[in-house]
Parts: sequence; structure tokens; C-alpha cells
Amino acid sequence: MAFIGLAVVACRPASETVNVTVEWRMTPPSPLVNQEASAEVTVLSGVPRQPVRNATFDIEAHMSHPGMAPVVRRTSDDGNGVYGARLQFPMSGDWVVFVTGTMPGGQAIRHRTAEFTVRLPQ
Amino acid sequence: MDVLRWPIVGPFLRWRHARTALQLCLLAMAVVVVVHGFVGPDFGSTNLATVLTWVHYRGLLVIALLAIGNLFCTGCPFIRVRDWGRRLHAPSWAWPKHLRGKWIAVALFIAVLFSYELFDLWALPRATAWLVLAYFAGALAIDLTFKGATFCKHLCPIGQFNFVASTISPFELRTREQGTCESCQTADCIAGRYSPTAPTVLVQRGCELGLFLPAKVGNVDCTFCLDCVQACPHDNIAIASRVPGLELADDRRRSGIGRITDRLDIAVLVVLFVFGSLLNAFAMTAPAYQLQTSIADLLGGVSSAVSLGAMFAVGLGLVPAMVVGFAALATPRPTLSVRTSVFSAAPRFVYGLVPLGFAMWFAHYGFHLATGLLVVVPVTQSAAIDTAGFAALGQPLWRWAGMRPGSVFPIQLGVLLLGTIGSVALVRLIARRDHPDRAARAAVPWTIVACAIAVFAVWILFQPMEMRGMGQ
Repeated sequence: MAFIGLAVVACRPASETVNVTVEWRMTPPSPLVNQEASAEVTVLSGVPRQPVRNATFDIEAHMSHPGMAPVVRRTSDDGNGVYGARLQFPMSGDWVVFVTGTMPGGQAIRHRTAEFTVRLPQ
Repeated sequence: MDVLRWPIVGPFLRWRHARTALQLCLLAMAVVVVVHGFVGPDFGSTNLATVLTWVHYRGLLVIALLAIGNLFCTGCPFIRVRDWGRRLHAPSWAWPKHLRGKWIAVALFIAVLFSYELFDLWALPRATAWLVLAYFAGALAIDLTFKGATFCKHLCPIGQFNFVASTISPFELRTREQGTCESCQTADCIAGRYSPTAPTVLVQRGCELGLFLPAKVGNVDCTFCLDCVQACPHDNIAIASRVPGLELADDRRRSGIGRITDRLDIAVLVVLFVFGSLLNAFAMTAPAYQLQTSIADLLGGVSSAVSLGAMFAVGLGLVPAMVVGFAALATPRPTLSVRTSVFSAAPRFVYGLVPLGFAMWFAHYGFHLATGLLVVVPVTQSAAIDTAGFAALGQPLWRWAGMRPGSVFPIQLGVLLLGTIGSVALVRLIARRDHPDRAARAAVPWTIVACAIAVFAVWILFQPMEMRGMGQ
């Protein structure tokens, strides 16, 4: 499947990228395994930067090691371009967060937003 | 039981192009790995290079070794490309005698393990793609210069891993009827078959690794290439079932190898295989990171390369030398041998530890495959979006992964238990072989070693995993 998929699309042009800025806040900044953390993303676009309202975004958190199940959560729209979600990480180590979703204009985004380490409880 | 006599599978394996077909499948995968490694996202979890290499290839490799045999050497894409290269340029040199054996391969094996940990290769698609290209380039450069399967036999780290691991495989290539070989005048299985009309034209090569089938014992150095099956004019070669691991207690002289108990290089490779399994799994746990940090602090804030090097020196040098050395010292001198060195037990008994080492590799690589088997689906979908600009294969199903890590744990423990039983049984067989009058006494030190390794392996599995890879 991987080969067919890659072969089918290899020569297609990449999509036009949407110019967005995503600001990331998490409490605590370096969460503990299996303990809930509160994540907040602020999505800005345009010149000058304006909050992106009424959009749908997911937070996709992957471990740095391939093959591990990612944590995927749909965010809630907290208003004024701020979107939030509660996250829980099942394993210690390095995680990378992508914010994905659809802008009000219909453009899809996938933004590599943050990297952090999930720690074991002491 | 002879697999070559099975319906469907048998005719396929006897087909002249069976190996090429398998090689083309793996070559296609290698192309995906290299292409996506270079043009895909620079993040391990969403790139096919890292997913296919470090999750699927390694996991399927150990499953194939346990269930069948050295299938991944059969389908080796490096050798497919090398064979194409040899159509343009035939090698003319023989590999130098003083470089023969496993010593360079042992060094390369350590280098691969060390690089994997030092550079977090599992998280680096570009580096993974370069590594695959380096294998292709290495196989080509060596085998376009030197005759035979020089790269496979003397250099390839994956090949050496497979040679050791395939000693516990349930099948091996061997002759059907020894009498047929005794009356054979041509020995095509090793010399190759030449055209009857043009005697200098080779139409089917024989074993490139120098294994003469009538004197072949076990799977060490056998790439399962099936050249011998194709070459034998008497259809006298079988893929025969056997008791897995028993060859490790078999000290007959082997074609192309000699007695394994006389081969210090192979014994060292086996020790590396066993202790490397522990170190490779341990390095993924939280205590390993704490230990590496402690070593760095102890040495005055040295770089991660130095602290990791110290950990490797201890884990693959000092500890194995002490464990094997003390066990050898505690073993009585053999009664049926003229060898009297106090350490002579080491290259005889270390082979008994292979099932345990394989069990640890299986528990580790099997874990990643079991928990990440389906990840290839969303990663491929994501690759399609990246390249096509739309969801050509649908939105990525990121929830598709595999078994929950906790549910794999009992399987890992079961595999380790089987490996321990296998190692203890092999140690007893080796003790009976070399110490018929006091086998129980001779087996004691090595049984203790096997049990100690098993306890340490279980301890590793109980540790919280800590998957790093972002240089933090």
C-alpha cells in the first residue's frame, strides 16, 4: 500500500500552503505520564496577523519513535482564535505536536507546532 | 518435512526467479524508504522511511527468522542490485585471507548499534534513507571488486544478525540423500553449473558463501538464496524441518566454517548478539537515560557520544567479558578434548545463550511491530496528502496503530521464558557433549548466566519506556 500510494501521488504538485502562525501553550509545559495536561493553541493568519475564528482544529501529538499510537484530540473553540483541548500522554519521552484542521475558507492546514518531553512522575 | 515438496509454496521456491521476485518486493520497499526519506516530512513518526525500516522491517525480520528462516537475506535488495552491477562489471579479486572471518562484521555491527543510539536514527528519515543507500553502495563496491558473496559473508551486519538468529529457525537447506552426493561427479551446488555446449559459460552459480551442501551443517552463513537448489542436477536438496537451535550444540566440522567451537570470531559475534539485544532494549528505557546522564556528569560533562560510548564499552565489552570469563573459569576442563585453556569453555558454551538473545530481540522488535503494525496506513495517507495536495487515499486514520503496549507485555514475557528454556536446554546438551561424566556440574555456571540474563531482560521489560529522539 505504501508503495502504491507513493507511486500514485509522487508526481503530483504539492498544495498551496496556508500561511498561519500557531502559538502553543500547555499546562504544565512538561507534562507527566498519564496525567492530564491542558493545551491551548492560538491560530493567526493574514497580514497583519488576525485570529482565525470559527474553524475546526485537531491536536495530533506523536512520539518521536515511529510506530507509537499518536494522541489525537478535537479542540474546543474558546473564542478569539483560541482553541483548547485536554491531553493525556501514555508514555514518557519526546513528543511532537501538529495542529491540523480546516480554515474557515476551506484550506487544510497541518502545522508542526511544538516539541516537548513527557516525564515520569518522581 | 521438505518445504520444496509442499503445494504452491514448493513450486514457487523451485521457480528459477523466486529469489528475484522476493528481492524485487524488498527493492520496491527500499525505493519507498529512500524516496520518502528524502522528500517526505522530516519527522520519524510520519515518514515511511523510519516507519517501514524501524517498525516493520525489523519486526517482520525476527518473525520470519522464528517461523521459517533467513527469508530476508533471500529477498535482499542489495544483492539484487549487486547482481545487476555484476552484469556490467565482473569482480576479479578474492577477499584477502587475513580479512576473512567475522571480525570486521563484528565491528560494523557495533558501529550500527552505536550510531542508532547516538543519532536517534529511528527518528531521522533522511539519515535512515542515507543508511539504506550506504548499504546499497557498500554491497556494490565490495562485491563488484571481490568475488563471491564477500559482502554477505564477511561484512554485512544485518547478514551476521540473520546468520546467528537463523540457528533457531525451524528449517534449513540440506541434502536429501547423502548417497546421491557421494556419487555426484560435478558438485554443482558449490561449483555452479556450466553450459554443456559452452563449458566456460556459467548458467547457474553455486553457493557463493562456500557452503558445500553434503558437508553443510545448520544455517550459519546460509543466506537461503536457493542457488544450491537451482544448481543441483539431482534435485537432492531440501528445505527440511528440524529442531530449532539444536545446531548450536552440534560441533561437527561445517563446510565453509569449520567447527564453530574453534571460531573465536563467531563466538564473539554470538556474545555481541546476546548482549546487544539487552543493550538495544535497555537504551529505550528511562533508567538508560538516567544512567547516560550520570555517566556524563561523572566524566565531567562529556558529550553524549562519550557517555554513550562508555555505556557501550561496559554493556558490550566489560560486562560480557566478565560474565563469560567467570563462567568459563568455573567450568571444569572438558573430558573429551585436548584443549586445556582455562577459558576454553567460553567458545563452546556461549552458543547456548543464542535462544535467550533472540528472545530479547524478538520481544523488542516484536513490540514495535505489534504496537505499530497499522501505522503504515495513516502515514501513507499523510504522504499522499503531502504530495498530492488532497486526501488521495482518504484522511489519515491516526487512530490506527496496533496493540496496546500493555497487552504486548505478556507475550514478551512468554517469549523470554521460551528463550530461557531453550538456552538452559542447550547448555545442558553442550555440557553432555563435552563433559559426559560430569555434565550437570559443567552446566551450572552457564545455567546461572542464562538465568541472570533472563532476569535482567525481564527487568528491562518492566522499566518505563522513554522514547527520545529530539535531542532533548
